[in-house]
Amino acid sequence: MDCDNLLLLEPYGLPRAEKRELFTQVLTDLTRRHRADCPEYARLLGALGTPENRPLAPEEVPMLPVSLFKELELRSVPEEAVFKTLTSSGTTGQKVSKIYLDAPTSALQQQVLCRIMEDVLGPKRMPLLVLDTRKVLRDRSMFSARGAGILGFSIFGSKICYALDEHMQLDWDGVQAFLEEHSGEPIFLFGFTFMIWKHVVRALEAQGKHLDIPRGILVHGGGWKKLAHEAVSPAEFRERIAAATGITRVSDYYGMAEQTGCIYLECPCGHLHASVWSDILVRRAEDGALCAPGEPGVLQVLSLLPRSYPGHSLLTEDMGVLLGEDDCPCGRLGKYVRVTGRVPKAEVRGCSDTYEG
Amino acid sequence: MKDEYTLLAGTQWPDATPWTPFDARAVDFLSALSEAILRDPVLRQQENNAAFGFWCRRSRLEQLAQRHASPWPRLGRGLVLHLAPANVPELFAYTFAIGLLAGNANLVRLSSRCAETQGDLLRRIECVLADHPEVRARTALMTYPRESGCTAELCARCDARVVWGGDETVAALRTMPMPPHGVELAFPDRRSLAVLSQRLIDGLDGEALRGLAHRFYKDTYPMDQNACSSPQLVVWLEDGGNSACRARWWEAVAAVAVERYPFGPFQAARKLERLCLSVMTGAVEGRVERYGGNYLHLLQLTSLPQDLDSLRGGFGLFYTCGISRLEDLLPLLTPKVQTLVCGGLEPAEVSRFLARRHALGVDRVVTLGQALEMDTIWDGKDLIAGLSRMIL
Repeated sequence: MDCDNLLLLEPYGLPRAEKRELFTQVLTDLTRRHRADCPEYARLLGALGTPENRPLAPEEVPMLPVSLFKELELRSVPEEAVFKTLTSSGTTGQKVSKIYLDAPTSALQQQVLCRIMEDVLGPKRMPLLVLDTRKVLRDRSMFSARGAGILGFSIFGSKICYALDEHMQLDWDGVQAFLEEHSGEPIFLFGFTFMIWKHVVRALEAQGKHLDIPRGILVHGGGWKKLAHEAVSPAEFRERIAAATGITRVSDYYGMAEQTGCIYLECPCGHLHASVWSDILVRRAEDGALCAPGEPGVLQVLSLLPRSYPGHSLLTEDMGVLLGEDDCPCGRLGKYVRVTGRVPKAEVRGCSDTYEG
Repeated sequence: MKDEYTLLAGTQWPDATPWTPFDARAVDFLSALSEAILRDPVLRQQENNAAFGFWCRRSRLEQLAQRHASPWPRLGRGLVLHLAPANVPELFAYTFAIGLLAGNANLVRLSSRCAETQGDLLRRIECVLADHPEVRARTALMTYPRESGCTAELCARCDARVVWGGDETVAALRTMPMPPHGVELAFPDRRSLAVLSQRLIDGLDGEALRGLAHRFYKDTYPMDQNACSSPQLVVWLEDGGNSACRARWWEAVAAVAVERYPFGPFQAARKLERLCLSVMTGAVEGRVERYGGNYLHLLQLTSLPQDLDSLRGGFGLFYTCGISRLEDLLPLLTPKVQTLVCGGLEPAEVSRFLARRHALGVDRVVTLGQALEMDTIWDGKDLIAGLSRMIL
């Protein structure tokens, strides 16, 4: 299936059997393509004995650990075809992932993101209130995932206002002016979960102030790790957002720079949904087998988009649970999951790397 | 000394008067410590600490004393600084014991992580030291932050230093001068391999095979296969038998791992990453096999590798190939190669063979199950001799 036809698909409209057929076809094709054009990938498939001349079921497509993109420069296009290189920060001081995008892949990612977001925002662009600072785009050390996320979502804004100043303080007057200018209109708000919690919700609460954005639609991502430390549940997050800003439509999302575009967006039932362009598998660490629904495991993500780098099947470092498929009460088809957190870090034992701590 | 210096056991300023190697006071202390550990309800349950307790039992120390007996008078060098590694937590105890047996006063720097995780053993040591004031007066087990500059200060004052922890640590320490008479025993990164006799393994029945597989497990999995002495490469000596026994061997090893190795998502991810790196960079060529689910990954090499450096195993990732004669190994044995673990070959014969053929690497030939056993001769160096001096 070519890119144009891919984009015509309904984001959550394909039942299980048809989606499986689509994924078998496209992933087999992507695997063949990366095998031909990325020598490193070809070596791995040779060693794994991955068959070359028969279709691969989605769960058979070899997976690369996401960490590999920090170690190797993996491309399936000539260097001059690289249109932009995405980097994702790991933790501070660690190596960064390098994801090589050619123009078609980059465009496809952007268009898929649009299709997924349309499901929440509708087809029209609307005023965007970014719950972060503009500085994140200027300051190289703050860029990476946060900056890329804001840039990626900026295309949904007809007008953009940054809610936080460079000191991460709420720009009360600026925000009020923006809201007044667009009163009566729906407002799209975007930000990172922990930043929203700390610099918007908690800050408003501390000042005893309220924003009034009843027609706001908030999309946030970036994970719950820091909030879990403060023992904030998703339900409490929603409640306190509603109390502080009047926003009742709140969607979390799960996604990663290695598969940009294919985000897993939260539905009104609180479930993260795979769109028709991506799929998610939950694996047991001990034997790699697929987990039954409800059984926690490591998340593997499949995407139909990566053409310029072999990132169509990745083993993440996130844990999660498959909740169901095609049967979410919200009506969306496809798998829906809960992401429970990062793979717990264990201490690596051994002789080397020792004069530390 | 700086504020960051934290004394964990012993005394702040050790008395550096040299003792004779295997001085009765040192042997008494260590055998008392051995008994205390093996009696301690907590420590004796911890495999690594129990192994240390067993290692320094009196009969063993007496054997060591005989092995290191010198025809000439010997004395310790004085004050020895030990830099113990962070990710082999109990090694600080072995290096301390060896420094003490060689006749020295000892400053042992633990990483802050070890200082936390080894609290039980440290308390037990402090307790036994209280009954051995002369040993206590020459002992300081301590920790300080790596950046504090303490290491450089201590280097400037010690008579010898023992540097564990790999190439980077060794290189870092080389920039810190010791007094002109100071000596250094450094333990950089090493690689190890195993050679298994196909004839022997093929001849084993279920129980014997399981026993040997368990010994191999002990050489590899307990330290996530990251210890310098843990084999990454397993070479089959094609000295008879049927090569079909190899799969039975790996199944047996995997079965032990499934039963004993704590394997989770973190280990699975790191192992997959290493496997991908080896194969995708083109460092090695071969076919991947899996045993016991994700517990054992095997890369069947198409030929003997150039060297062992490129073969990064870990978490139950092994590289394997066959050779028809032991001679075939020789080009692989660079100075980086430390331990050769033997299955079905006589270690003493293999050692003699290596010496006769002027092998550049391999300092240690042991039988299956002994790869991780600490010794007073390590990396080809006699630690007792190195940390003492002769008076002729």
